[in-house]
Amino acid sequence: MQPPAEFVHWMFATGLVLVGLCLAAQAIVGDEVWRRRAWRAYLWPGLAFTMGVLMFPVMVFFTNSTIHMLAHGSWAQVMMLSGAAELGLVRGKLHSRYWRLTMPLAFAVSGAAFLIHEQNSWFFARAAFLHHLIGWTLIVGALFPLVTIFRPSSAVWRSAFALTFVVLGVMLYCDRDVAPVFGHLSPLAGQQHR
Amino acid sequence: MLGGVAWAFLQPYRVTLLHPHGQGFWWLAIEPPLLVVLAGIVFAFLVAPSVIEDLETYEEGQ
Repeated sequence: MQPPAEFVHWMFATGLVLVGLCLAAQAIVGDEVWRRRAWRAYLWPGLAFTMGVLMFPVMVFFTNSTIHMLAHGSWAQVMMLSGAAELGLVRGKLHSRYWRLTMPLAFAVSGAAFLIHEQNSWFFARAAFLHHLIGWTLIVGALFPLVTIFRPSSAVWRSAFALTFVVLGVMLYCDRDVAPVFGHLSPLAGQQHR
Repeated sequence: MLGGVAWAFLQPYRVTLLHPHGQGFWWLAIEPPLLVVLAGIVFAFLVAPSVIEDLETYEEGQ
């Protein structure tokens, strides 16, 4: 009954899209309106933290090499860290805005993990292409949460931050087991599925 | 939500519910276009109404 790996990617993609929608709404209406209801203030940080927790069973049950397991472990830890830091700030347990540096850190670490653990070139197969694309998107996208720490009222940077989650979700939705990318599929990748 | 519906029209073969014969549980339960629609529905019905309500209250207060 264990789902194939691509289904797990699609479920996490849905989580990323939801986080992106919440961040976009918060950027549009502003923090004051968004935090008028306590449950809403905790919503996206709670989702990020929960996704980090859920990444641990993924790490245990869905990885087939040490480097793959380490990558999933690093994603789990940085997602939990950034979600927990934001929860602490919203709750008032943490006060320094520099706790928000955990988010660009999470982006940078996650991006590096994607790039380091992908051993094949861009056009080896769709999975390889997506690993490179998501990795570089995360590395470049780390700029958005970094800038929002110093310019918290900028709707443009905050929207870009939100959109990064949606784009990452779309990329994860593109994942297939063994599939070509723009017509390229290495014979070493195996037989195409679906 | 509309994005998911558009995706289902553009790539109907991704919606395995439309041709369920021989499909397993996961292929029937978890389909990307439907997940996008689901995320849209969750946001539109559980989050957005209270945001709009609070925004209107805030603007009236201004």
